[in-house]
Amino acid sequence: MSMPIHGAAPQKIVLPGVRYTLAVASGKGGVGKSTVAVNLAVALQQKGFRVGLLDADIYGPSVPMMLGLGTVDPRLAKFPLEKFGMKVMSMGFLVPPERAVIWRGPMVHKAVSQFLSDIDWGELDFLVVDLPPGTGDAQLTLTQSAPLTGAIIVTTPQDVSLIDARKGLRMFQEVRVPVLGIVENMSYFICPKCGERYEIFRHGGGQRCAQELGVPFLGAIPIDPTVAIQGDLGVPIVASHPSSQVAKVYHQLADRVIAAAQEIQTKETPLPAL
Amino acid sequence: MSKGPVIQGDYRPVALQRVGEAKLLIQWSDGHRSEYAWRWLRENCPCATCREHRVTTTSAQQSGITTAGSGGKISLAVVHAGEVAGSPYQAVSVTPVGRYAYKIVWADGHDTGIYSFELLRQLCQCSDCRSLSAWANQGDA
Repeated sequence: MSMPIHGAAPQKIVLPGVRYTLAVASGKGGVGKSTVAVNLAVALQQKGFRVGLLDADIYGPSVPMMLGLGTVDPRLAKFPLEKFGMKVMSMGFLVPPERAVIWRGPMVHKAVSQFLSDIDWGELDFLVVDLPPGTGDAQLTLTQSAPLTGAIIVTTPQDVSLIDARKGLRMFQEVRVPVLGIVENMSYFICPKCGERYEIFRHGGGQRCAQELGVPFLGAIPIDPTVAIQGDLGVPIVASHPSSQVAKVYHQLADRVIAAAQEIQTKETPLPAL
Repeated sequence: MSKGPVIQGDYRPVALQRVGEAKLLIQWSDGHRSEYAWRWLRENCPCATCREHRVTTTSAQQSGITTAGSGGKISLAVVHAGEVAGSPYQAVSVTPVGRYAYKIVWADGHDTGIYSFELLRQLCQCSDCRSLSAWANQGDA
C-alpha cells in the first residue's frame, strides 16, 4: 500500500486561458532543471507558441538570473514580467538574491497558489512550471490544485541522481499526473577541438530509468560550457545560439513535449463530482 | 518514440451517484461499481486528525479507558458550531482533488479528508468486495 498523502486539499485553481500546464521536476537538486525549463520554454516560444514560465522554486529561484531579470518593486511592476516573448513569474522578482526565504510549508503553498491564481497569465499555449527539487509542498500544491497536463523529469546520467529521479517520478504517478517522460541533462560532452564524444557522468542512465519505469525517454542534452555562460549572462542558449547542437536538442525535446501534451489532452475527460 | 505519456492506474471514476440519504455509488472506468455508506466513508476519513482519533480511541479501548479525562490519556476535542449543527454522516459535496482523489465536505463542516482512488477501492462495500474481504480475513485467522 502506498504512503498516504497528507494535508488538506487546497482550492482548485482554474487557468482558463492556459492550454497546457507542464511541470519540470527532478528528485535531486543540481541536475539543471531550471536550465532545462528555461530553454524548453524558449524553444516552445520560438516555435510560435504563447508561453509562460512560472518559477515555483520559492527557496532558490534561478529563473530571474537565467533570463536577465532582477528584483523589481512589486508596487510598480506588472506581473507577470515579459522576456524573450514569454510571461514570467518568480519569487526572485520579489526577494533580493542575497536574502534567504525562510518559510514553512504552508507559506510555500500560499505563494505557489498565488503565483498561479492571482497572476494574470492571459491566453497561453504552454505554462512551464519550474519546480524545486524533491517531493514537497510546492509539488503537492501543484498536483492537488493546478490543472497539470503532465510532468517532465530531469536527471543526470549517474546513479545518485537517478535514485531521486525515480522518487520524483513515483510521486507524479501516485497522484496520477501523467509523466511525459525523462530528460537526461549533462548527458555527454563533444570536444570542440577533436569532435570526440565523452560521457563524463556515465551513459544511458536516463534511458534505462525510463525503460525500467515504463515512461518515454524524451532526450539527452549534452554538456556545453556555453549553456552555463549564457545562463549567467541572462540569455538562454536556445535564444543566444539558436543553431547550436544544444539548441537543436532542445527543439527536439520541445517537439516531443508538444506531441505528448496533445496526446494527453485528447484522452482527458474531467472527473465527475457531486 | 513508441510509448505515450504514462498515467498511473487503469481505473478512474466515470460517474458518482447519491442513493437516497445513506449511500454513494461510484462507477469506475474498469467496469467496477462501488457502493459505500456515507457513514463508512466518514468513519474511515483519511485526514490526519481522524487517523489520530482512531488510533487514540483504539488504544484507549484496548487499555480499558473509555471516558475522557481518565488519566489524561484521551484528549478532549474542540468542537465548532458546524459540527454540532450538521450531521457528520451527511455529505454536502464530493469534488475531485487533482487527478487522483476526492474531497468530501460533510454537513458538520469537516473537509480535510482526501480519499485517493486506491483508498476508495479498498473501502468498497459492494457484495463482491465484501466477500473478498471476508475471505481474506478468514485466511488471516
